[in-house]
Amino acid sequence: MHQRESSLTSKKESILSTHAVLRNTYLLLSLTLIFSGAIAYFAMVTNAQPVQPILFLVGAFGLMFLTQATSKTSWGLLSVFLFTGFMGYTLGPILNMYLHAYANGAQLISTALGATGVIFLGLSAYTVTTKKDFSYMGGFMVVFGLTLMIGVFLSFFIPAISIFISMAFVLFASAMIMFQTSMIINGGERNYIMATVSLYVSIYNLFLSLLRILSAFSGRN
Amino acid sequence: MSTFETIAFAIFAGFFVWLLIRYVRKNPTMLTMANFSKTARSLAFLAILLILVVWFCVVSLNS
Repeated sequence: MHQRESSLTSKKESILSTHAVLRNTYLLLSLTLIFSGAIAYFAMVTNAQPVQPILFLVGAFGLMFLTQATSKTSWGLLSVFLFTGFMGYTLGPILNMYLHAYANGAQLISTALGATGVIFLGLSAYTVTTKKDFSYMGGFMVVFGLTLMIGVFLSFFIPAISIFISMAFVLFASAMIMFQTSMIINGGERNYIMATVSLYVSIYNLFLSLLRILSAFSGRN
Repeated sequence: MSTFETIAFAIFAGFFVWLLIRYVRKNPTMLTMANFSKTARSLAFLAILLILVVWFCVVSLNS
């Protein structure tokens, strides 16, 4: 009897802790998306120059590693805002480029943004309501992600493959949203800062890849 | 693309190839055939849904 009670108590504690991680993740994700959007808007208004690809890679990976290193301390919150602010700043010139290069640039951006929202909300809602465990995807998601990164570098040498890389990125980012949400729900992820970074990067990649695909199929010069 | 950028990108690509090989060698228990088939099925289902979303967006943009 006593054993059963203690088992029920520990189960209840685990569920409460999972809910806390999920709530904190979504709260921090909303704040970082708003912050990142504001920085992107600032970069657009001030006509900021595009960040050099090498500087972007060093900045993005450097700040991501900094966030991972500080994720268990309160400094993690500062580094997550630094990271998302940097990503937002790099987004501004890209959006400006789409607005100037395409006659329907604003329409392309709003459609890509809408589709990103629909995909994110749909996949999150599916994973949260079904509570399906996608942990079996973990190993292959790492392989998929690393292969995609190699593909990104190849696309600098062979630009023709960049559209296929964008298509693969849409699939990867969507699968990552499902995987990360499932990890939070099933107790595999206890750190809300790392969960936020993972979801933020997925949303960022999903938006940019959708924008690239939509401009290739529907962009009017 | 400048020579410096070409070399830097080649180094970055080489780093990711090394990471990939290292990961595959060190995690044989996570990369099983059963997990692969389940992952492939989930990704295929997801791909169909995403194609529908993109198709809907393209049609609405072109109309």
